[in-house]
Order: sequence, then structure tokens, then C-alpha cells
Amino acid sequence: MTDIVQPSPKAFRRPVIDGWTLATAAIAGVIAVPIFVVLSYLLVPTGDIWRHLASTVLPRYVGNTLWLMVGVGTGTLVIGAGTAWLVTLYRFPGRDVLQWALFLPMAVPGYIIAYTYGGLMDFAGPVQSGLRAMLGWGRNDYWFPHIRSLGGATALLTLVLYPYVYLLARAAFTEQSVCVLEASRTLGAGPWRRFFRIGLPLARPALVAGVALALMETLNDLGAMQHLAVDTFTTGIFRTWLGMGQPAAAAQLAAVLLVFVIVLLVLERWSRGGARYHQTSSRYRALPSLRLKGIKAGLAVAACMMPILLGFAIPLGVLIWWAIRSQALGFNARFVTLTVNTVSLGLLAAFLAVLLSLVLAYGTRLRPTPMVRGLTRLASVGYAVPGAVIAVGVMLPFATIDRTIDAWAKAAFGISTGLVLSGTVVAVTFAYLVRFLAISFNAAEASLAKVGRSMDDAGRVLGRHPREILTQIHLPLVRPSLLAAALLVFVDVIKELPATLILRPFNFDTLAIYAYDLARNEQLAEAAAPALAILVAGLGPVILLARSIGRSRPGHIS
Amino acid sequence: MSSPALSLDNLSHAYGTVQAVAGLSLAVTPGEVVCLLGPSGCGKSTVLRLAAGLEEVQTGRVFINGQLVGAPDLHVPPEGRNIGLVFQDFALFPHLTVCNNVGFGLRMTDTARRRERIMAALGDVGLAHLEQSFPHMLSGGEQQRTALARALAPGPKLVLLDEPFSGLDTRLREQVRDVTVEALRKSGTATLMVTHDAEEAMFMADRIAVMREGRIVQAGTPIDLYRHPASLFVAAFFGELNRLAGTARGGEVETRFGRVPAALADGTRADVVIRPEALRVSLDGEDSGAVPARVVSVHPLGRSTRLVLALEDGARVKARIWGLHHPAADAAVRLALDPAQAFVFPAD
Repeated sequence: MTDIVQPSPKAFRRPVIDGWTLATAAIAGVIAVPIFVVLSYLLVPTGDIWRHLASTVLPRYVGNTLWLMVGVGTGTLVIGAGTAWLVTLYRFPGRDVLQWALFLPMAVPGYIIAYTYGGLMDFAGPVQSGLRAMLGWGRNDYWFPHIRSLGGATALLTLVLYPYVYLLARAAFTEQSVCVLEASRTLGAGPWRRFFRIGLPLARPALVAGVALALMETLNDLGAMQHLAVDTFTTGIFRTWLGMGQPAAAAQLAAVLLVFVIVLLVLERWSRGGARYHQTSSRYRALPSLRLKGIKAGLAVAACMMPILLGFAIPLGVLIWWAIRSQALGFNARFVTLTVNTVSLGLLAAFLAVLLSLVLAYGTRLRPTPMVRGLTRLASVGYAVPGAVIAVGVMLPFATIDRTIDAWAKAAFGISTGLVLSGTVVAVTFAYLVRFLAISFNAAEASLAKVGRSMDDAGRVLGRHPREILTQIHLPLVRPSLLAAALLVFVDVIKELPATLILRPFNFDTLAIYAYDLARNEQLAEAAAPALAILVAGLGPVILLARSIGRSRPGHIS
Repeated sequence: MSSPALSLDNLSHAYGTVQAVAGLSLAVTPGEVVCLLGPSGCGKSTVLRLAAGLEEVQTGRVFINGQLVGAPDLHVPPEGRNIGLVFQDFALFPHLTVCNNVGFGLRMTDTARRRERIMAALGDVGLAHLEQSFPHMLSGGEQQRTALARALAPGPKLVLLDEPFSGLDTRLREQVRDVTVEALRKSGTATLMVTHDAEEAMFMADRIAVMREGRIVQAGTPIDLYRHPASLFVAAFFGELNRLAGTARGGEVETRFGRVPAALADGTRADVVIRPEALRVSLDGEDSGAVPARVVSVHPLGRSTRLVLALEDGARVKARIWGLHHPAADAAVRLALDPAQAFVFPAD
């Protein structure tokens, strides 16, 4: 041992907090701001406003929102779990196509299915007109289900949201131990008994998570509810903010809505915790699909076709028909401008989301301290928070900052800076990041987790800094997952309506806004072009899902 | 005076409440291969990670080539230590070819010289023909050799090996071990290797340090440790043992096989430990002084044969004899002990 202690010239004193932790904390902290802003309104006393809300609109909002959640929850559970069980456990004609086609309704945003069915089923729409013409009825001669109702809204949202349950239920049924199901057969359990006694209970965590996702989307919906004239929290926030110009009241509503969301989140977390218990090793074992014949096969095909037909084929057909019928087709110069706007916003948000997610995920990987973990979890709750709530949470602090900067500039230089943040692309992009960061973060974290820890160690021992390891080792390895995540964020931004509506810069419209405006003016046929464009973009994630299904079960696709 | 390539001074390290390393000191001189041998969980991998800078030092000091690189308030990150590390899972970069994996640690811009170094490193492990392959196309042995070439290519003064052969099947292991020893010797680097396999340690090492619960319990040449284990733990690590209980009296312990010298105080309870190969087995009647026994079972292992024997009082002992000629099961035999191969330790 040398007695003279001679430190290496490359040695450094250990910093208290390194750059990655700092960056992770900063990103997560900023992303979480809107949620805290809204939550703080639970504590702000606003006496009068609240009493006014409680005595007027609040009971209706709560009632409608709860009924909607019950209806959509039940509906998505029945359709999602039922079809998932059929396509995983049975063989019937067309099953291989149906099992991915069942994702298709996911591509249709709630407001688009509302516009199409609204136009289709109205008094003046083709269905009722056709019936009247065919049967010679007059206005008061018949009863027809009213699409612009709570029931109609529930049915339509169910049709486009059941794929969330289907996705997770299908994965859960697929992973279920074949042995368990075979054992139950040898014990004489019939198909119904197997479904209710074995399949459903084992898949319960996945089903709860799927329904929770569908309900989060339900709470988020603005366009469909407005079009179908159902007053929910989200439409209430929108009306209170933009219609009545009462930001504080809107924030209060948003805070209550956030409580609904937190309940859902807790429910989902809890169910995911339970999911750990039934990991099985039979991942690649071919499931013993039972062949259905005759009438049973026909019923199974019908059961799987129905949601695809109602949730995807009919809206698509209606949009194409409208687009063809409206003479200008809607594909005009304005359409091009809007497409450019929409795609630019989508690309910007997707790029930033993936970049920030990568920093967050890598920072967490380098120093997985409890603080960093807590912050990143906080930064990724945005996916559960309705766009309208996030918009409120972004607008309030941004407006304050803008006023402060403006006042300071006036005092210091005698010039007005106007709006720097609010009402600019910054605000709307930030809202997208808050809402969609979880999508890209989960993808980044999951794909980084697949890169063994010894890769980092090997890189460092071979002389590379953590930064270089990220760019030279991790990035090439996780690039496909990041691109997929970017696509998901991109498409979600294109479909997004409530936050865009509240936060977009003046005169800066997107395809979703355009469709929304036209539909509000009952120019449904003209809305077909932007709606079609959004729907086609929405097919991207469906294709990704279909491909991942093909990959996850080699030898199972026939 | 040349300083050791690696010197660990009184290292202690804890993960939460688990003490992984407890006051460990060790030095490796240039050109020397030292093995840290111990059961899993004894802290040997932590020592390696501390030496590499993958863990930050909590207590103690780490020197590389005489320079302080790790202390409680001082940390040279792994990228600043110029060492080679071969990982248990090899950790080859899956998106890079063998050539680029090996070249990853080379920071030279001159492509011709760089290529020369890569090819030399690959040549030393006999893989020059696979330079354009990707890791997933290689066999386990080839992957291990690529990992070794990658660690050696930058010419480190110190190479760390973390269970480098545990991912390979037995047959392959011996072959890869030969290549590894040869390449390490040729490079002249100091090597610290971690393993739980005593045979592997004896094959590879100039010196072995046996670790238990975060401490080095004995260090020495492989022959030293085999012939003069300082404790039952060390003796047991180098193979199967017969353990006989006894009591020290007059500098000796009385056993079934006669007296064995013991440097223990009178009355101390002792374990007498006998390796199976220290028992001489002869057919009944040939060796009248020996202890009679009966063969219970016979396990021919190729080079040697393992016997399980029952003594007259029913106690079982194991013996190992060379070759394939062996007594039949149930045969009566006589056993004699080579006292030089019996070890006496105070009982736990």
C-alpha cells in the first residue's frame, strides 16, 4: 500500500444532486403544475360561486356523469370481455381478422361517432326519413329512440371505448394458464361456467384496468356530449369558462372532476397490483381453441362483427357518403392549412414528449431514488386527467405569468409584451405534454428496462459518460419503441378536442376544431372531410396493436 | 517501487441494512491473477463493482496503479479508471458487430490503427474470422471471448472478471478457460476474478482469496489453500469432506482412524476433517492395521471412483480412489488415513 495518497487527476467530489436527477425533477415538477393548480381550487374558498353551482347545475352534472360512467363501464365490460373471450378461446370463421378488427373503433373519437349517428338518427336524418317514407308515418305516429340523450351518449361512447377493455382482457385471457382452463374442462365445467368461474375472476385486474381507462376517456369527452346535449362536468367546465367567463368556477368544477379521476386511478393502481399474482409461464403455448360449428359459429361471428360494424364501419361509411355528397368534398385550401397546423402540432408534441420521456426514464434508471420515482409517477397521471381540466390548470398559471411579464415590461421599458404563453402554441403544446407524456414515458421506461443493466456498466467501464451511453447504446436499442410511442402521441394530439379548444392560439384551428365548429353549426356533411382525416390518422395505433399481437404469439396466427 | 495495479484498503459496503463487504483489504500486482472465491452472497461481486467504480465507496479506499480513485468523499467514475471488466452475462451490445463491440472502448481516431488493435484483440482470443457477426449469431463461448477481447482491447492495466464462465456449459468452460488464461497472460495485465467455483479458481489463479460474509478468511496460492486450509469453511470449499468429531488431548485428537496431531488446548472439542482422497482403501486382510469397513455404494466417475463406506459402528465415510478398478458393493475393505491430509479445527 502506498503511503502517499495521491488522488487521480480524474477524481471529483461527489455532487449532492447530479444533472440527471435535477433534469428529471424539473421536468416532472413542471408537468405536474396544472394538476396541482386545479387541486388547489378544492381548498380555495369561493363561497358564492360554489353555492351557485351547487344549487343550479352541479346536481345535473354529477347525475349525468355518474350515469354515463355506470353505462359506459357496464357496456364496455360486456362487449370488451365478451369478444375477447370469444376470439381467444374459440375458433370460428374470420376469427383471425376479427381479433384485430375489434380494435378498429378505437380509431373513432367520441365526437366523430356522435356527429355521424347524430346526423343518421335525427328526425331529418336518413333513418327516420326512410321509415316515414316507407311506412307513411307522420311526425307523431311513432316512437324512435332519441340519440341526443344520456342513453344515446352512453351507447355511442361504449361503441368506441370498448377496445380498451378488449385490449387488456384479450391479453389477460391469452396469458391465463391453459392448464387451469383444461383442468376445469376435465372437471366437467361447461363453457359458461368456465367463463364466469375461471376466466373472468382470473382476468379481473385487467378488466378493472380496462374499464378504468374507458371511463377516463368518458370523463375526457367534450365534443360528443355537447353534440348530444348531455351536460357533464367536462361540458360544464367548458361552458363556465368560455361561455360565462368564470375561470374560478370552472376551476372548481375541474377540481371536483379531478376527484372522480383520482378514484379511478386508485382503482386502476389497486387492480394492477393484483395483476402480479397470476403471472403464468404459458406465454407461448398455443391456446386450445375450440372449433365452433353451425349456429354457434354464426352467433360468435355476429357478436364480434356487431361492435365493429356499429363502432367503425357505419361511422366510416357515413363520413365517406357525406364527403362524396358535399360537392366541394371539403378538401379545400382551408383544409390544407388546417392539416398543416394539426400535423405540426402533433409532430411538435410527439417529439417533445418522446424527448422528455427519454430524459425522465433515463434519469430514473440512473438514480431510482424514491423522490425521483414519486415525481415521475406524478408526471404521468396526466393521461387520466380530462383535457378540459388540464386546460384550466395550464391557463390559470400561464395567464398570471403573462400578466406579470407584461406589467414588468411596461414598467421597465414602457412596452406591452401581450400574451407570451397563454393563447400561444406554447400553452396548447404544454397541455398536450401534460396529458400524453405518460404514453411516451411508459414506452420509454418499458423499453429501457429491457436493456440489461450490465449494458450501462459495460459502456462506462469502456470509458463512456452516461450521456454517451444513452446516445450510443440505449437510443439505437429503444428506437423502435420510441417511434411507436411518438406515433401514439401524434395521433392522440390530432384527435384531442377539449384542451385544444380552450388553449389554441387565436385563429389557429386544427382539424378537430374545424370538425367541431362545422358540427356545431349542423354542417355535418362539410365536417366529413376533417373527420375522415382524423379517423384515418387514428388507424395508425390500431395497425401498431395488430402488429404487436402478431409478434407476441408466434405460431398462433394461422 | 512499483505500486500494485489494484489495492483495496479496508473496504466496507452496505446495501441498506445488509453488510455486503466488511473491512476487506486486498492487492493485485501487475501480471498477477487473483481470484476472489466465495459462496453467492458473500460480497465478492460488490468488491468487483467497488473496484470498477460502479458502486461508490462508503468506507475504505480504492487505489488503481497507486492513485486514489475511490474513497468516501472521492469517486472516479468507471469511465475514468481505464480498466477492463468482463460481465457474467457478457453484456455485448446487441446492435453492434463483434468488431464494433471490441472497438467500443478505443478512443483513437486513426481508423487503420484502430482496426489493427481490434483485429489483434480478436486474434488473441481466436475470433478474427467473426468480426462482422452480431452477438446473437455467436455461441456462448464466442460471446465470452468477444467480451474478453473487448475488455482487453484498450490495454487496461487491470482486468476484472465477474463469474466469467458461469454462463457456459461444463465442456465449453474448460476450453474457454484456456483461451482466457492465455490472453490474460499475454496482455500482462493484473486480473481480479470473482467466482464461486473452487476448481475454476485453482485453475486460473496465482493467488486465491476466500471470502465469507464480506471478509477475506484466507488468502494464498491455490496449493496453500488446498493443503493448509485455515478453517472448516475453506476446507469445505475445495471439495467433499468427511467430518469426525473429537476432543483434543496432549496435542492430539483421537479418531476412528488413529491419532491426528492438533495444536489445541486439552479438552477443546474439535472437528477432524478428512478429504475422501486421504483415505487409503485396501481389500480386507491386506492391511491389518487399518479400520475395517463395508462398501455401501460405488460411483465410478471416470478418472476416479467415489466410494461410500460404512464403518463397524455404522458411521458413513466417503473415499475416492483413482482409476476404474474398485471393490464391489458390499465388499469388506480396510481404511487407513494419511495424517498429513487430515485437518483439525476447533468445533463451531
